[in-house]
Amino acid sequence: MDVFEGDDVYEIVVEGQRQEPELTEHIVSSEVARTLPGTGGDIVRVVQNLPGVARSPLGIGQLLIRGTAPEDSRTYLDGAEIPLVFHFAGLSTVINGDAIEEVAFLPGNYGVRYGRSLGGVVDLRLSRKLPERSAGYASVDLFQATGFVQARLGEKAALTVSGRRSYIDAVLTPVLSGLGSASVQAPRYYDVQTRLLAETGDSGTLDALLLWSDDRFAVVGSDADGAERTEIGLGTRFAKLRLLHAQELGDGWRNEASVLLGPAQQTFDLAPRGTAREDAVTAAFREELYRGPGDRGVGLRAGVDIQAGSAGYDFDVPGFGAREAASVARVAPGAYVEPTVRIGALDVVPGLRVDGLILDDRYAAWTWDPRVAARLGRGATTVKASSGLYSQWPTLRQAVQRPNLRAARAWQTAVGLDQRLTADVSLQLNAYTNQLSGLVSGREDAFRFFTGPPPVGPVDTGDYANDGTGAVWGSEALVRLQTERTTAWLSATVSRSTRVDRPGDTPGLFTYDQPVAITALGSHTMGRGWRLGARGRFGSGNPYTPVVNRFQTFDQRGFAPVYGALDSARIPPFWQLDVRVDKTWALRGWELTAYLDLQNATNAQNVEVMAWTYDYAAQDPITQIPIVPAFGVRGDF
Amino acid sequence: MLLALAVGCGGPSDETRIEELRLVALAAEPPAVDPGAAYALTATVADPLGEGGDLLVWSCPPSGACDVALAPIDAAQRVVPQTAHPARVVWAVACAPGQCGDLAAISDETLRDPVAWLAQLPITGVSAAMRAMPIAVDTGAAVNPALDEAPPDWITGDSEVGAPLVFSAPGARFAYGYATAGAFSAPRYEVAGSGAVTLTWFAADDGGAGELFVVLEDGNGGVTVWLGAAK
Repeated sequence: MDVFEGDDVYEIVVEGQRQEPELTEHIVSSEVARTLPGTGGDIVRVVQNLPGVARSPLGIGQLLIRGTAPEDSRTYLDGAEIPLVFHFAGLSTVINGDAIEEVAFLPGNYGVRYGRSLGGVVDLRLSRKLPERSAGYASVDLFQATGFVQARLGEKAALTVSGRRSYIDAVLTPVLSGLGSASVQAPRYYDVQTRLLAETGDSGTLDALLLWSDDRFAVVGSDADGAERTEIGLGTRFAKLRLLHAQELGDGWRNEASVLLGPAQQTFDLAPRGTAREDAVTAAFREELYRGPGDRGVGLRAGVDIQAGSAGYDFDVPGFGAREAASVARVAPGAYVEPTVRIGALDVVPGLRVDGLILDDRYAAWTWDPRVAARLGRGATTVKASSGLYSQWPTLRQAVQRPNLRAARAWQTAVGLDQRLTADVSLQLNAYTNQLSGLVSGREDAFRFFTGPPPVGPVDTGDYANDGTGAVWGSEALVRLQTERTTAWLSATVSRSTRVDRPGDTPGLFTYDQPVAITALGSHTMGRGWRLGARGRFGSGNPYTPVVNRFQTFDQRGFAPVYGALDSARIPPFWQLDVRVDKTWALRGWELTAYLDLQNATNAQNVEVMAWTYDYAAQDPITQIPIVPAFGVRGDF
Repeated sequence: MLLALAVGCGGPSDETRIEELRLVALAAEPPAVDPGAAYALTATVADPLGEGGDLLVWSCPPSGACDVALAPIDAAQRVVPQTAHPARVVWAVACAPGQCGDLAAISDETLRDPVAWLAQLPITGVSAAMRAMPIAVDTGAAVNPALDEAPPDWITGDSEVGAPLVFSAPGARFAYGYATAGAFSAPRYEVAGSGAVTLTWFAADDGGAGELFVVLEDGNGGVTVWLGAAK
């Protein structure tokens, strides 16, 4: 386990305050994330620099973890799944990083407290400690303005209020609109978090948190009568209330119960009459009882993880077939148990997770996911191994339309070594495989929401079926230096991810297969308030399906491509250098920090997405955004 | 992406320039027929390089032999007889000399999967196109848009100020302009309810001569093609 803290590095074994770490768990504190180069100080974008994470096209906010698709990974808030992690284009996490104490990144082989996914996990963890004093800050940068205040309410409570509003739209919309006839309303987002944290006595805490996030993007034009109308509109929004109660029960036992409830919605509008929406109102209840093995030699984690509510979709977009709509009551019960047996320096952690999915009377299915992990070593060297099953339900539309679909499965296996080389330098090595089965194939011609650029190539128009299989193999290395003044790491991932969509198909590369990903990152405090950092990244390009010919379709007066073998070509390798400098002035009663995060400092023109001219006569790739001088100022009081 | 969305129209449109062999239109007469009925298909081909070649037009019923016509590319328009099949899809391939092999010997099996065939052909010197053939029982009796008014056959202009090409084609909904010299201001023009539409053509910077093609469509399978010359 790697812990990146602001000024210190430590092993987390403090029973009652910290739980046993997952087998492979990278933790980044918000304090460290704030000043790392190339990320705009965003805590989850820092995760994209860790081993096991591939770079997403256009650098947008997708989490491509260990050769799996973005929709195969999950984001949690203190163990409760949240519907969205990034605002549009991945500019920022939907929760202010300063409201988060740390982010835990689990690329695979995690324990049974997490489920319903084939890929990795990002868990945003809030501090359970009351702030020592009232404080706050205001900041403005290239994209957004932020306000953050935390106030002590007596001895046993604190209130935190944070809000952000992007102003990309205010800056870009007039510029873009001036370029042409269409009026582009650049993405705009805002988010608000309000949190009341109180100590309840008997070592308990009560935590009430309100989250609100709203993103919109539109292209505005005019109809035949000249009236303004939205040509293309995209929106995502959610509001969640989280109530959490944590209690130390004595004798090392700890109980934590939480409920996260509220609506989430995603919308798409395409003039003149295309609309699509997905929405859900969910209450997610978790309760977990935990005791570490300590000196007793036996520990236990047991819990329930239940989601209940309503969910629906309504896709009515011309060009994507007939309208599809459904609205159902959805219940996803889950429960898990995970004892820990400690024999000397060896921890053995078997576990079992059971999940169900019930949609009205249309769909009901259950999964049983046994997992086992072992960790040997207490000192500078730890050897670890794990293997287990993971399940992921079909999407709502898939399950409603094909009730015979079952959950997709992943059999994940990993071995690893954690080695402390010096007091300041550590090494982590992992090798893993993820064997996927029962992946849902088909209906690629149907409308669906994408988190990134839609894949280009031939589409599978057959019915949904659990026909897909996949294989992921990889190894990861992370060397980390952490001193009082320096944070640096070198991460490297070598992997191969393949898929077979239908029985009998030739195995092909996964759409986001990136065999090599290397990131070198460092940030150093120079003194006198100066901090310098740099990040270099190199990675393989994503596969793409080449166009080998084209033909005209006179009914639509356009060109249609003739594709070659699926994902048989690869865009050129990617590399990028980012440089960051921070300067902090200590003033009377407050601090002022200014920074410049020069992203893509060499103005590299990496190919991000392969595209073609209108007639498919030649390649016309979409290249990387040019040099971005992300700058900002922040005043802390 | 945002920038791409924001770019509007202005001067000559590259999409209207034809620089190599290309099929421009497949017009049927009558534009809608019953299954099994014969109709005449007029293929319009632009050949700016003057290489000639061969034109293959075919349609394949779900079972039985394909209806195939092979003709040399020695004029801008070539009329080929076809039969309306339940499959309703008509394909055409224009091939520069030597690009497509022996078209006379091509098998029905190949023609039934034209996309697979195209994957084996070179991308240059080959132009392929397809269209659906409306069935009269679905659309009722139909006629191709009539050209009540059209520009003279010879058009002159310059590269800075576009030359207006005025058409009146009642029944047409859209007009598409293509040029082997210069370019039109947009690839697509909306036709007024009266049938009036004005396209703007810009001459090439070097003032070279070439052919102009304007395709008028009614959006229901009816197609009329106007041919002009730029000088």
